[in-house]
Amino acid sequence: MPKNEGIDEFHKKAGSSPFVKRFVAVIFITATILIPAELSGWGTGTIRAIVDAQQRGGRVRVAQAPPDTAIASDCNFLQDPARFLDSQARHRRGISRLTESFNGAIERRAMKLIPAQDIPRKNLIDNILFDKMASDGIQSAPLTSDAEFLRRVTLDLTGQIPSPEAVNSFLSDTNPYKREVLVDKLIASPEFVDRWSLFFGDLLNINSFATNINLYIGGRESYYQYVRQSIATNKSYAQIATELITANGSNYTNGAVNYIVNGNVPMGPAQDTMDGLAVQTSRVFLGLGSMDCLLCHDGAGHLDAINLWGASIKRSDAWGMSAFFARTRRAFQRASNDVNYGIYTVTENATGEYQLNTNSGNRQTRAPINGKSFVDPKYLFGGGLNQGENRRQALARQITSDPQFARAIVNYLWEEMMVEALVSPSDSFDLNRLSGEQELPEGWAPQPANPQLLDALTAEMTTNGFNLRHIIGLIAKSNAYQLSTQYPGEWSIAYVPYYARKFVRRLDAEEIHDAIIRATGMPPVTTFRNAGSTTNQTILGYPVMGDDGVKLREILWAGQMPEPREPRQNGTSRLFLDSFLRGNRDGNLRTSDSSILQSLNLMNNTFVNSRIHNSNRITNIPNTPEIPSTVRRLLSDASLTNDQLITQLYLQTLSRYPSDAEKAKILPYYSRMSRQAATESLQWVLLNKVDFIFNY
Amino acid sequence: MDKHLEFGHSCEVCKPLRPANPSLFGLGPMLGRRDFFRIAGTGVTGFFVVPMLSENTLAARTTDYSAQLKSTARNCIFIHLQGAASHVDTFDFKPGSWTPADFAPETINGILFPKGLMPNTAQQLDKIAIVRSMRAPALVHSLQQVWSQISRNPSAALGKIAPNIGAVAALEFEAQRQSHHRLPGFVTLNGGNVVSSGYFNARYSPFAVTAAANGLSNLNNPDGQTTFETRYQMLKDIDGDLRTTSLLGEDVSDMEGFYQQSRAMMYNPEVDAVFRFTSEDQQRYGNSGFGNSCIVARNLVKSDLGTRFIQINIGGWDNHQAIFTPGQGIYRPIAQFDPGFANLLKDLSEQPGTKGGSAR
Repeated sequence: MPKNEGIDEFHKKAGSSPFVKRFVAVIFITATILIPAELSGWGTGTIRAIVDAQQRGGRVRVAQAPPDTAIASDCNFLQDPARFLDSQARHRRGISRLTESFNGAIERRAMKLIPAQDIPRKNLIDNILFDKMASDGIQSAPLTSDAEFLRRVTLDLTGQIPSPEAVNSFLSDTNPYKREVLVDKLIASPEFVDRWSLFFGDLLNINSFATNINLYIGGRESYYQYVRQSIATNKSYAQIATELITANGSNYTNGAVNYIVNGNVPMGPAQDTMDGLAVQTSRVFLGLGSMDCLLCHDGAGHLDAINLWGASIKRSDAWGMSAFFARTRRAFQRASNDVNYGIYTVTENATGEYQLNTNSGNRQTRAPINGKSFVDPKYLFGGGLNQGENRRQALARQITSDPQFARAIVNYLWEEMMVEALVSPSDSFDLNRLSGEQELPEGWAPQPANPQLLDALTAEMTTNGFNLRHIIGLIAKSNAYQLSTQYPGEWSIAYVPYYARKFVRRLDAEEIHDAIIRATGMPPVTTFRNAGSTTNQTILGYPVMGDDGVKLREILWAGQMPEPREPRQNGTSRLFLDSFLRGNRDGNLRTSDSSILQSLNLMNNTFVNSRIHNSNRITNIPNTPEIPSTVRRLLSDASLTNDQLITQLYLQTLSRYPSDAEKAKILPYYSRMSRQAATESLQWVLLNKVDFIFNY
Repeated sequence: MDKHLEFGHSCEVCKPLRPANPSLFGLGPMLGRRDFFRIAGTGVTGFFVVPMLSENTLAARTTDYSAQLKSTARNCIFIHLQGAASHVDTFDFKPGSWTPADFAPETINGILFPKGLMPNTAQQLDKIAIVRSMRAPALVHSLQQVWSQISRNPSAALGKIAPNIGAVAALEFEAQRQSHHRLPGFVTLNGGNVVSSGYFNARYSPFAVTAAANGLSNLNNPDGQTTFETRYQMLKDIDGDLRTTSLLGEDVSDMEGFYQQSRAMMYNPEVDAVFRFTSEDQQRYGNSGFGNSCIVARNLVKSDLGTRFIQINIGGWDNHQAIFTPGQGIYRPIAQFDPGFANLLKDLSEQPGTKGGSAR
């Protein structure tokens, strides 16, 4: 493909199909957007000096060669969009294949497809989705069983598997509304707060140490506790967004301040950090990942094949967003001279502008436009400041009253519960393709899987005070959420946007860890020592240590970990968790991919193996009676028949009853070897069974 | 298997989702590079249950491999000195009044080298060429460490999903894998700050190994092989018929997937030998975590079992203060580095031909 060929020329020559012109998500652009190769050797002290210099209106003098400016040929996808496959289609193919294969790999009971018009409608989600299925002649998967629903919704809402007691109680409950009651109960549970604090921790990249800046443990703790408290009190999401964007003060006493600190971009002028905050804000609160591209160059000539809206936006428009952060200042005070950690203080200055006077750092040259040497704050879809508000308050006001704010979060929540987002990837909205009605250029289709549903959920969020629990509950209570993952008919990838079945997902690392704990009955044990102490302590669970090396608090579950670098004090658990690719909220993002290391770990790692034997029990916790493994507890009950033993192990590990066929395959092992050996083997088998680490 | 999911399929229903012009996109019986990515490179599929393409199948079907691999090197061992070793005290030696006497500089092969500080490496200087023209753009440790591994600015757009160079190497050499290549293409040793495979499939994610004399702990079941085999059989019995058609419409009687691959690595004498070493070797390499990792790296390269890119991390080089204090400063990491690195060079050079060794 010749370089620098115009995109239209390319299409004409290649005779490209509409497919080629379809949007390709920003996220699959590979590493060819050149960043200025020559960077200055600046530390944070110099950045502060630059900020000060700019405050005084001075030009920053840099004794470095000017950076390469990015040109169209650097963004190779422009020349050869075919190299970058439609990521939405890839995701749909991926989850279709995964769900189909999963259903081929486990025993499923005989079921039938249901005509969409016959599925009972629980709420607006059902009305929209099943009406659409009915009108397009798509049949629906049947509803999932009670046991499957219980396990699925318990995992999705709390990150934990249900206990045998919960299973039996739910199965024997005759209340026709028991599923709704269950959803409400789970939402009100403390584990709900754990699980959704983890979700928002991922979205906000809550980290103690990162490549762009260190919050240190002190900052991370206050940030995490801020999120927890907001979830626990069901704070309005609009209020959360406002608090985060407008936060000032010490990042220790005001957890929300860490949002501003986290936007730092090192090794560049202050404008890079203003841009970084604009990118973070656009991604998190508006689902507009294109901002990162638009802060280097205009959308035209770069995003044309990817994002119709983005292609119409200019770099100067994007700067208007960054300018809202131009008066934000950050200072750092070490806790003492001998340590690295300390407190950040964020303030909002009375003066300061987004100056167009840089020629180094992480982004292209910023030069005056038509003689104007700075950019006024201007919201992408609105204006500037009102009377009596500062820049960040103006931005928060405009964002939270923008429908895109509600749209982005309901899409994130929908994706979390339904596996397939309405707009995918969920941080790459194309605002020009959201309606199902508008006229689109040839080759482009509406972006949302169901535009009407997205609009309805957006309205529901907005008119219900941005109540996160309300939307989560609405989704969980719909019959669309409660469909089986089994589709007893000819499945087609074209049915994905109808949500004609539920899709499977692999459990997150934290969920797998906690499920193993619950299945085997043996919590983690950590031995550690406070800094400056000569005595070890041994506790159940994990200690959360502070910057000074002294324990701050204890947690029992991986679902309660404030960041993926924990548990710092327990290498076995940490490496086990890492092998399930929870990432580090920095250079390694979370993924639900599978790998050889994961299966090796489930088969052979001591984390699993130390929990499956009759001899496994916890005896070394002071003032605590012995905690036996599930195997030990069951074997010590001589009144259990083999059949009952097998059943109990299934309930404890897989949260369901074994089928007759499964029992028939297992019972012979009890004749071939000792009861103990057979039970230990069965525990191992159930932990390695494919349905253990999947939510289906 | 749904016809819409089949390879090479095209119809009215799927048209918006698939390219219409087969010749442009290399559809057909052979797997072009784009389809390689489409099928094997999807970063979102949990390959646990998806019948995975066996290496044989993949290698045979990947023809249009447009990556022109120019270099003649077969393998790469990247030793990452985290904390950043002082180059003017080691490989870019610049003596001065501050240089401790025990550095004992000497000109070897035309290069002034602190023989006293690194006596073992000094004897292996004829095996290496020193490149002194590299520059690290970032000042901040963690930023540069990530930068070095992904070869681009982590702060730049999409820096967070950029793959480790090792993952790129593993992917680019995928076509050359054969049936006996049981080990992952990209292995890391000795912990440290390792970037993962980014938007690549987890197949190319770093396979983290903790080197120990008695082998790779995860390759052996703690309850012994007999018990393991019984349990593995029980697992297969209970999981029932795992008969699913593969992505390419072939019948698969056995589930090809990560469990099979993992199983193939276990209790395999060839694989096992890679991760074990004698106490003589352990002592010779310096009896440290780093040294042990160098032994395993040597074994990985020697055994030619599929690993092409190895990353070994060693920390402790952030010697801002007290760098020349005996027993501390730079002496501490050097004590691990010198015997490990030198013996790695020595052992590799004694391996003839394409599996290591001198070009001479």
